Amino acid sequence: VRTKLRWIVPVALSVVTSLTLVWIVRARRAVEEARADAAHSPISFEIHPISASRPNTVDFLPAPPDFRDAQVFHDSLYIAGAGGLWVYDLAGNLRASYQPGRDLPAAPLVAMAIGTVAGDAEPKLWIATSNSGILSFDGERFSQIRVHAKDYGTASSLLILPTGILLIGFSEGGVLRYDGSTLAPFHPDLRRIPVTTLAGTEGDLWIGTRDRGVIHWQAGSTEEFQDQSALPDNHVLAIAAYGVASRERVFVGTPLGAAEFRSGKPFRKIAEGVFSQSLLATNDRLLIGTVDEGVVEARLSADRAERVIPSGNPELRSARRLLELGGRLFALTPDGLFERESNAGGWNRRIDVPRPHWADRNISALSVDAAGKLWIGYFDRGIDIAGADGDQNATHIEDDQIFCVNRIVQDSNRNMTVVATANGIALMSSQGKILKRITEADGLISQHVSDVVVRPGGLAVATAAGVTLLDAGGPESIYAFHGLANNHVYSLAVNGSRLMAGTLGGLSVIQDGFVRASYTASNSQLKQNWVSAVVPMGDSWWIGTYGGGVVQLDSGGRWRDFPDFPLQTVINPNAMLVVSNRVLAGTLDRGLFVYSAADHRWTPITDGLPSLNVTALAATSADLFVGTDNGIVRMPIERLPQ
Amino acid sequence: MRALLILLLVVPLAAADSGVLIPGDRNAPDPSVLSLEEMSLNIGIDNGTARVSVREIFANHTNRNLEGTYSFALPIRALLSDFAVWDDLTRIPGVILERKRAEEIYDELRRQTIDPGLLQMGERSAEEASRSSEFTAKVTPIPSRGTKRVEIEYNERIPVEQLSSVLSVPLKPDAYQAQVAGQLDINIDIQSERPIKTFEGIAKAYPLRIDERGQNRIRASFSGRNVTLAEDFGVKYTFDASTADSLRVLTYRNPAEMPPTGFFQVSGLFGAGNGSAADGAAAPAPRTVIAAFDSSLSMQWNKLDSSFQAFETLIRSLRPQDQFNVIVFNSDVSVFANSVQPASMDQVERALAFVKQSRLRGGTNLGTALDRALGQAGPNAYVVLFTDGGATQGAVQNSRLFSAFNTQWNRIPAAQRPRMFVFGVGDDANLPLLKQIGSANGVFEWARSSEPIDFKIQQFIAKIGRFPISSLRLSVMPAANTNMVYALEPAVFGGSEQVWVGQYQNPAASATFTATGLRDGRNLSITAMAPLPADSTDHGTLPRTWAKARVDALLDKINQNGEDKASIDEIIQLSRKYKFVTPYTSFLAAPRSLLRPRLIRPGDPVLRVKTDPSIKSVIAVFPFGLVKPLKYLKDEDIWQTRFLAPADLQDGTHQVQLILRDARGNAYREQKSFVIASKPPIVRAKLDRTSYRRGDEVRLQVSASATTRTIVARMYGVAPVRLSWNADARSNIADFRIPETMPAGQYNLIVSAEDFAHNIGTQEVNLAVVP
Repeated sequence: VRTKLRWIVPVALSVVTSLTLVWIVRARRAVEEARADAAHSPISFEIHPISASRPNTVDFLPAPPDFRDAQVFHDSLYIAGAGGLWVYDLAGNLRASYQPGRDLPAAPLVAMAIGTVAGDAEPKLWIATSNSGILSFDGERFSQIRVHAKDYGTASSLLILPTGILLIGFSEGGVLRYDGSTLAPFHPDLRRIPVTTLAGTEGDLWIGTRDRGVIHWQAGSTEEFQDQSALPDNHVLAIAAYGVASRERVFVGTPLGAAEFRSGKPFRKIAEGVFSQSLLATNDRLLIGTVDEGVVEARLSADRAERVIPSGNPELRSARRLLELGGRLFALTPDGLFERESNAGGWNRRIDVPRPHWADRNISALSVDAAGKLWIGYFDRGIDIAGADGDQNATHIEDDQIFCVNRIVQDSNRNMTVVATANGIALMSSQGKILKRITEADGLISQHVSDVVVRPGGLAVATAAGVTLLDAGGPESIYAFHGLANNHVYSLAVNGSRLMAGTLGGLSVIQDGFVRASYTASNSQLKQNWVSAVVPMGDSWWIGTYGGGVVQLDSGGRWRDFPDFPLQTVINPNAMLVVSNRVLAGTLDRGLFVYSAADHRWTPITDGLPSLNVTALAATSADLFVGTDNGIVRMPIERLPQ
Repeated sequence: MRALLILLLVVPLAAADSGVLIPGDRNAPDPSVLSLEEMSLNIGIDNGTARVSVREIFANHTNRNLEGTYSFALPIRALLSDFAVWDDLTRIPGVILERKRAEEIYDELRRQTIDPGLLQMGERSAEEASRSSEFTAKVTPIPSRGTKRVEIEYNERIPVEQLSSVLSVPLKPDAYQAQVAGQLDINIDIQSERPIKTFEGIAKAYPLRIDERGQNRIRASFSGRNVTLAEDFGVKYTFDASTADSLRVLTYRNPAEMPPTGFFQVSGLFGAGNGSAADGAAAPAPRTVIAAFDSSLSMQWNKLDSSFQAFETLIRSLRPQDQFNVIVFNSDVSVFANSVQPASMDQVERALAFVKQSRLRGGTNLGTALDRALGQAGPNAYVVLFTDGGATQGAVQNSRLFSAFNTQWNRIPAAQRPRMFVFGVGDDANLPLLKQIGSANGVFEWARSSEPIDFKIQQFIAKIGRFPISSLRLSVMPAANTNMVYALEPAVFGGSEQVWVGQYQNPAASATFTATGLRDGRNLSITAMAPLPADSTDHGTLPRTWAKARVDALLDKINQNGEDKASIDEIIQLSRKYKFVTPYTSFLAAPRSLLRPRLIRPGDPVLRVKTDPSIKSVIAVFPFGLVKPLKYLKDEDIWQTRFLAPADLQDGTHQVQLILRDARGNAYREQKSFVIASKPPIVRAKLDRTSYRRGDEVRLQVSASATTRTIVARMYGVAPVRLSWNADARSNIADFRIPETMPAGQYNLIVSAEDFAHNIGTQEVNLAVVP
């Protein structure tokens, strides 16, 4: 037996070593091939440091952080979110924070990774942003990599390989690799795929996609697994590997449950029906972070994975990331970090955010009432009524009607505030009491109200189906049948007896309840038919369009366009305001534009904005409030271009 | 931002897409995945009642089992009688159940994650039309590399108008333009007691071979391979005027049934007469037309468009010697002019503008509108009402409203009493009331929200100035042996046919049927004698025709007097026995097939989902990666969210996945499609030339964006012209004639294209009319 063993053991070792060498050689060759291929099609990019100087004229008003990802870096916990980057010590004390528009580019942060990329001496924190490329942070300074490529969508995930390659998953453009000097597609097979998440190693990469299931890239070839055979659903939200030999057990999370892969092959489905947006495999358990059920656990040792729903903390509903730090388990939610109790299995909050804060970051309407209170309308979180100085004693109102807010208008004639929503309009007192709700049942031509203007006799309401005029005689409606340029009315403006209706198909002039004229790109200087905002200034109208910038129509019917306004600029719906002899226009992706009547010029403003998507504007006599899809800032009007 | 443009549509996108099977992961038929291998159409017309059986076999060209959505557009008068899918050798038919029971089973199956679906009248959900002529069926599984057989059958009564009958079977998919049948077989068999004078196939794509041509029977067929279904199948046949003014009697009695019940059908084809009221004067007298147009809020969208189309056709059809006035009503009633006006071109244009400028208001004061209309009446007057009949102000109950109208109408001296022409619009039209109003010596016509209405409008308008045969009745001797006799047409004009159906208790060697009425002011009496046999099973559709008439009568009674248990029980019993859907029953196809009425209807630019009560959570997973939980709105019992589509998301149809979870933790996945339509349709119109003489035919050719729903051309002096898709020309085509009375000059032809989102694109084309 000993003699036999003398032979068998070396032979076996030699076979294993040979196989391992073969595998390594093939993996390296595959990587080399991928590298060689990628080298032929590098993607242009620029990298530059981010200035440490902060805009000093802008106040950032409070908004929830909307945490997305967490990593431990330099013995601190870094949490990234739409609201910026927060640095906590490991005891949970906030040490620093970096905000978009102030310290960082104006974009939400979506994902992070830590590692040393080729050319760097030390590991860095790498951060994907929604539309401002990739950031790197060495503990002191930020740098930004901006990709000059169209049609890649947004960066959705990062993965740093041991070989010093940073992989970047894009929502439309597949997987790119960055080696410190070159940015290129990682592999031809992984181009043009909608990547949601990345996991694995250099020779054994797992790519989650939005509609093609999970792709396993191994030794230069790809294998695709979809819901017909392997997954509960083709939309992959998360991937987790179990243990050191991560090739052995990989878990893939989808909206309809998770699936386990062993040795690269589908093995079983787990926790079917559980919306699995984050995963963590540890200690024979698979922790599944859901959207609204907290964290669900499944035991892995059983042949048939056992599903357990922990009693859980009701505060922990949406678990966006699950982390294991020093043997302790954490769940990151949009507004905090929770730790799992080792014995009872419950979850306790470890990191909170300063309270009270306003309800949401996605602003759709702003208005200042006669008492100086700031009314904030959210895209789908109702409204807050707060002090204009940004104090945090906000009154939050959110119900089945006041939910998706489009516009807030002050009616000084009747001393009330009109809130336009996707479910009708609400008339409110200055204290936030709802005086009356008006819906289709009350005569609106459509529930979905885009804009409201106050007229001497009542209100004019812009809806997705036409305009309803509300006055003492009761509601009356007009739409394309009656001559409106289009049924979809986005914006209204009133000046004397004239009512201007900006629609999807042009601008209509309404007087005495009748459509008197309609202007389109074919019979005016409108560059786009889609009129998204209209404001009067003096005896002229300023008209914002979706994709055609701003034009002016004077009382004599003369049109004027502006060569200094960038072509194809999108003006957001009702994101225009006239203040102190200036016209302001909020754009979809170019920040705020200010027109000075004194020197007849438009000036763009981007510094200090938390997002370049400016969605709402309001002003007091001294301050301008700029609402974006990522929070609100306040700036003094006197500092605007004169 | 782009969310504001997003419309949620019910899958599938198309309206009136007949006989298509759409792969589960697609928005449109894809012959590389599922192709139509065989289609057979068997049509039997038995004395005006058509039974249409469609059998289709689809082939799956993939290596996986597929799920598909079958869609078929039923003609408006059709009554679905059968639907079945084959699972290998097993035929799985649909069944008629009491509505409540059907819904219980439906809910139970849904809980088991099986989606069986229902076909029923009356609203099931906020997103589904109350009544739709189209239904879809989920067909699963379609085996890999295998075939799936689908069968559908419906009955339809084919009326006789001006001695002609037209049958049209929808074959041409609307939104999907066309599909190809590997093999298409059509067989049509027409049997008629009344001799058939002429017969023609009116679909050029399916030239018919006449297999048998007799006076009372015609058989024809078509067979072809790789046939593009580019148009609907249709036939037209006419009757000789010499066969008019006679009655034909059919019977059915099956002695094997216990107890056996006899059915009879009496068809009376009436000669044209001269269409005048009394004296038979040949020259058409000047008419006074009072058009009452409903502009209440409930009329918005298709109803208003259809009404205006009919109104415009009416007004433009007036002759110079006619007089007219227009009343627009909602919660207010406004009148175009203080008194009736001559129908000059100028006044006609002003009247059209008057209606166009009327604003929609919430209420409908139908009673006052009728009062004002009756107040304008004069000699040879017609009140033409365009409305959905939904009164909300003044008298609102049907009985009170009609009583008040009737009192007022009868108060007018008989010679001045206007005839009431009612053009009802909308799936939710108040049919009982409108029918009653139309019975005041007039005509009632009804158009659903989504159907093409050109033909109906023409028929409707053509009757203005003509008189129906009044006081038309059928008597049977011996009377005691027959009961429950119903007339199938509300009014009959010269050249048209009235059909009565009834039951007889006992067989008899002979019975006398007499139709009496007043035509052109003269008494009309036509008699026929026929046996009531003990055994007569040739006309198998007759019991069903009678049952439908009986159910309609019971529904009218319920509408007038309220529900009573006996009526409801009888409706359910008749519906189940004769297999057709009523407001009290549903057609349930379970467990593998789905029948569900669908209708395109633009929704709010937010995602709204109605679910079973057991659903506790709904999460939307959007195609661009966004994941959003929906909020439950308790008052509306609906889940809602909205979303921002990325700016670079292309216009078109996209899918959003809904993950629904019930209280027990079961998760269900459903898909909804939504359309991003941020641009109005692009229209390119072309005329065959630029100058025309009066009486010339104009060919208009228009290309428009793929999302276009309707294309209409308008020109001064010409009734609006709707364009339809022409597969050969690969364009939308319309032909119209320059009126002989058109003054010479330059005219603008305005072509408007409207998409599913009601975006409107227009183009103007100039043309010259030369003497």
